[in-house]
Amino acid sequence: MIEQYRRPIAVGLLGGLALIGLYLAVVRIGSASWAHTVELFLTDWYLVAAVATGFSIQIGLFTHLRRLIRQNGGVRSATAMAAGGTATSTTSMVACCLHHLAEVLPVIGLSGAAVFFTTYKMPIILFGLATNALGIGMMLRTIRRHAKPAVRAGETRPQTAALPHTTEGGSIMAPAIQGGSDVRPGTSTETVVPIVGMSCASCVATVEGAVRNVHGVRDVSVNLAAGKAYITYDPGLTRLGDFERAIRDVGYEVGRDTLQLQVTGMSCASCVSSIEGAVGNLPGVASVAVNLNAGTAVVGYNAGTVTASQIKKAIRDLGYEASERLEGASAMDREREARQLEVTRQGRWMLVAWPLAMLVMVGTFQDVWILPRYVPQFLGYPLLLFALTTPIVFGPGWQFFVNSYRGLRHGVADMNLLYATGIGAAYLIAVINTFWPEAGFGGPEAVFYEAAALLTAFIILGRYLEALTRGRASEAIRKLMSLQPKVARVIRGDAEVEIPADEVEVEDLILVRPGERIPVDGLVLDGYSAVDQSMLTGESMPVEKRAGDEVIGGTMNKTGAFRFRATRVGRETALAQIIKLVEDAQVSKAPIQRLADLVAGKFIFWVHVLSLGVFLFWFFVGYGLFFSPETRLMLTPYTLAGVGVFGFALLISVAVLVISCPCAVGMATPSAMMAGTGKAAEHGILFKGADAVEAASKLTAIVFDKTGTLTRGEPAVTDVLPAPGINEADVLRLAAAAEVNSEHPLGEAIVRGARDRGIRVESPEAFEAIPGHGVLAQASGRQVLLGNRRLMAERGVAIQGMIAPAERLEGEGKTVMFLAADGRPVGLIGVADTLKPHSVEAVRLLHTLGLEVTMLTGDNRRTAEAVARQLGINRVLAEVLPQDKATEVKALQARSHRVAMVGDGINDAPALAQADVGMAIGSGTDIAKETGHVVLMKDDLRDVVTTIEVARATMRKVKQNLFWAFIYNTVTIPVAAGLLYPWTRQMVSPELAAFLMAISSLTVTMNTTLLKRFVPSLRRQSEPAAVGAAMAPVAGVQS
Amino acid sequence: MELDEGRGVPATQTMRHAGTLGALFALGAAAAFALAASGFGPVARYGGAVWVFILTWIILMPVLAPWLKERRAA
Repeated sequence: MIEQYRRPIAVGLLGGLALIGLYLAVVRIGSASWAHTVELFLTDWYLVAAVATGFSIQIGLFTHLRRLIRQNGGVRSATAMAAGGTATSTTSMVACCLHHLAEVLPVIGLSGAAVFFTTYKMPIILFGLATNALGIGMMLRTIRRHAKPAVRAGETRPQTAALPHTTEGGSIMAPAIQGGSDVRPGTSTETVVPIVGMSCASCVATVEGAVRNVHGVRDVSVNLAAGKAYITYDPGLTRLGDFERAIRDVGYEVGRDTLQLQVTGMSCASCVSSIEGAVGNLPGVASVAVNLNAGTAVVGYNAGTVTASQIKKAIRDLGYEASERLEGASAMDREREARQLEVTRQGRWMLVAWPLAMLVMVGTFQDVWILPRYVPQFLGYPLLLFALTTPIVFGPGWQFFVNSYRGLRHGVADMNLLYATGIGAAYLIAVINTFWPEAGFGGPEAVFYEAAALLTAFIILGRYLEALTRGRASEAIRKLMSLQPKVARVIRGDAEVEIPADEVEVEDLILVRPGERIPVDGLVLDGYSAVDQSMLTGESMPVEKRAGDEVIGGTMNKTGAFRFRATRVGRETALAQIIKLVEDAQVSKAPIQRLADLVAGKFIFWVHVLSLGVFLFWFFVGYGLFFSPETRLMLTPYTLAGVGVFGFALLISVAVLVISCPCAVGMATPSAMMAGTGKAAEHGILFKGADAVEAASKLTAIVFDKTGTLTRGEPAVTDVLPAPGINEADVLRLAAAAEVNSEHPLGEAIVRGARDRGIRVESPEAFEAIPGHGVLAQASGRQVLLGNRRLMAERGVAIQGMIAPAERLEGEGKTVMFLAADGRPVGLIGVADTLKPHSVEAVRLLHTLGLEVTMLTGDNRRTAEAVARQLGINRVLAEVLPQDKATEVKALQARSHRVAMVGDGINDAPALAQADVGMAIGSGTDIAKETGHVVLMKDDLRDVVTTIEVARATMRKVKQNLFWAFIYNTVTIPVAAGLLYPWTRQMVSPELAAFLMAISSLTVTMNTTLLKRFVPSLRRQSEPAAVGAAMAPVAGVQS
Repeated sequence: MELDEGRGVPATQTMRHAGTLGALFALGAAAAFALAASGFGPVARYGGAVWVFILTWIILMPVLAPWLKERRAA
């Protein structure tokens, strides 16, 4: 009980103190001196204090009461309370407040009048005390009435019932508590909220600060370039609407997805309410409006939390049919619309601000240079300039005042505050100089209307240009999203049905015709075609698809038609996962950004501190020491001879505020990371985070797994050496016939080798495997023996003539098998793993980049060294057990190397994790891809080179951006603070400061967009890769 | 309603408290400025005091708000 009244009483006491101060001021006005004031005050100060405190306690209690009313859903009259304690109405808050004001207003009025109008007359003060006591008593009584929630007899109030529901025109604001009553506090969930209107790093800090203040939020990370907030929260404690409100409160708009559904099967109003209830209770749904007559439902939802399919499923589960109206805009379109809205808004303000600002500027400088000849004199009249500037400040410039006020309400100082103080101060000085020219701000000669006008115009220009260019940074994501087809042709029974692609379910049969995009991932059942996968994997040539092959959603079918079975849909498709991976990378923060974040986060605070310090210095010290009547504003013919000490110090103080630009510092890293990861995605390289980009740019050593990474990972016939009088084809035919039933990898390689050479493989009449040695078979009427040297020796086959070439092949790391027919040697076959195309070229390019290349393998040293020789790798770590691969990487790191590990298999996962950058190749296992920091979509090792090049280019851009941002602020802030003034007698005008500020952030944005022109060195080279050389067989196979 | 962790105090109230406290400090700073600037004219003296009040309040808000919030959470 005491706890709940402590706050109103504290507020009351504080208010009482303030009223005493006011009282003191009133007394001071009526007295001749401070001594007399004190004397008067001491006469009856305690009574005044008591009355004032009582008055304030009433206000505090009223605030408390208002909150109780809001919580309990309405006013409870005494009659209703007597009848059983139920809430009698759910009238609006306005009505609640009026009701209670009517109850206590006379008391407040009387006591207030007692204090203010009669000052220190004892009897009236005593009357004031009495009325206050009465007022407090009444208020306490009403509070007690409302202290308990309104619960009907036998009724249990659900946990969510205290949350506000608003019913407006058939739509309800859904409670959107995760999982409804099933959700318990303590669980965490993550959502992505798109935000419109952010322009710089301080906006990020503002939004993060506002959302973090929402009770139940565990973590929040805002990505400026993506325009999204990633929020982890406890669904039992908060809801989507709370974030949206907090974000809107600080001046930004929340992008919300809208789903328009055609609903059939509704017959009455209860259908409407049941659908609204079911959909409204889904997590992430912010509003739902069902129209019975039109048979439609419009759902406002957050796509980061709930999907369209889940919403439709919720309706279908109730027994209705719901289908999406195909003309509904996609998420990409909405994102573009939101950005377009911002561009339009700022563009409209520019149309207002710039013409007026130019007029103001021309008018201000009417008497300068040749302007008097062309500009009428009246344009320079201060009153006209006032009339022209006021609409700019209170039109286009008003957004900064509103946003900074909202920010301050949440305890956040942002860029809007810098703009608002700058514009406000310049405008105020101009107004004072117009209407009170003798006030000491430079007089009528120094009206700064053009400063306020151009300052506003430049800031809006900056925002307009940023809104235009910022969207381009996320072009990669938009390109990927645009690959997602909207419609799929599904086979239902004998009919083809066109349905929205996001309604395709696993196991659906889908038909794809030439020229169509494949809607989801799947497995081809029949048909044949070539599919262009370049947009996802970067492969330039179309890939042939036939029965049994996998197809990827979003790729383009080129030539034929085929049917396939959907295996992955919705968020599970490769395209959706790629988009998520790229988005995740773009939202993550690189280590280099920590410094920028630290600077940008505290920047505005320190700029205000500096501005205050600068003001105090120039006010008390600088003006007296250095001021000269020849003072000019930089790049203007303005002289400020008549400016007083306050005007002078204020101008410098404002210039410091305006010229400072944390936007450039804050944007430097994320904008470049976004462009860099997007550029990498265009080449089929997926960075999982900005830290991977930074780490990849610093690599000094690279470790390749051999089998499956540098080599194909499966044996192939590389050499066939027939005995004299026998040809190669006969050797292979006999050997293949002997091995056709074998499941041994070497046997399979021989059969595949024969078939690849167009040799018909016969089935043997008899077959016997001799474990560890080879096979014995009866084929083509001959007894065939295929195996190693020991098998030949045991069966008495004389192979002396073949020993020399066999040893040569073994020296090259190949596995040699001898072939004998009817007890006589007929030849030998060399089998080896083969290098992947481009492996040699990739290693060569990595050497040219200055990296130390190491090969890591579990194979024997001889084989490993043979492979390394072919690849040009000097450092080989052979016979390494899978569990020791990570140790080898660690050893390299201990030698101060920044190591990347490239691998594809499960046994590479620990090494991938240990490395500074783990690169998993796309053809590898899911575990490797899960563990790696970078995923190479194509099975092309040259992408390792491209990865490093992109990372280096991105980090170069980051460093350039940071350099310019820091240099800009380091140079301009001291100049604006008047460091050069003692020598130059020139000051930075607010409009020049605004211009420089706008240019600085624009420089960073434009510099980042240059990354779009980045082309990897491989693409720049015209000559084709030496594929033939890379295909050379090199390695033996462990049997 | 947004609540501060632990104490159940509405977050907006924390902000209001921070604002009030900041305003009081800023008022003190402005008064100190006005006293120090007693040798200057009234425009410079009171105008300066207003500017000092505004800047001080702006500086203090982001300091006081998290401090109060942490204090309440503790």
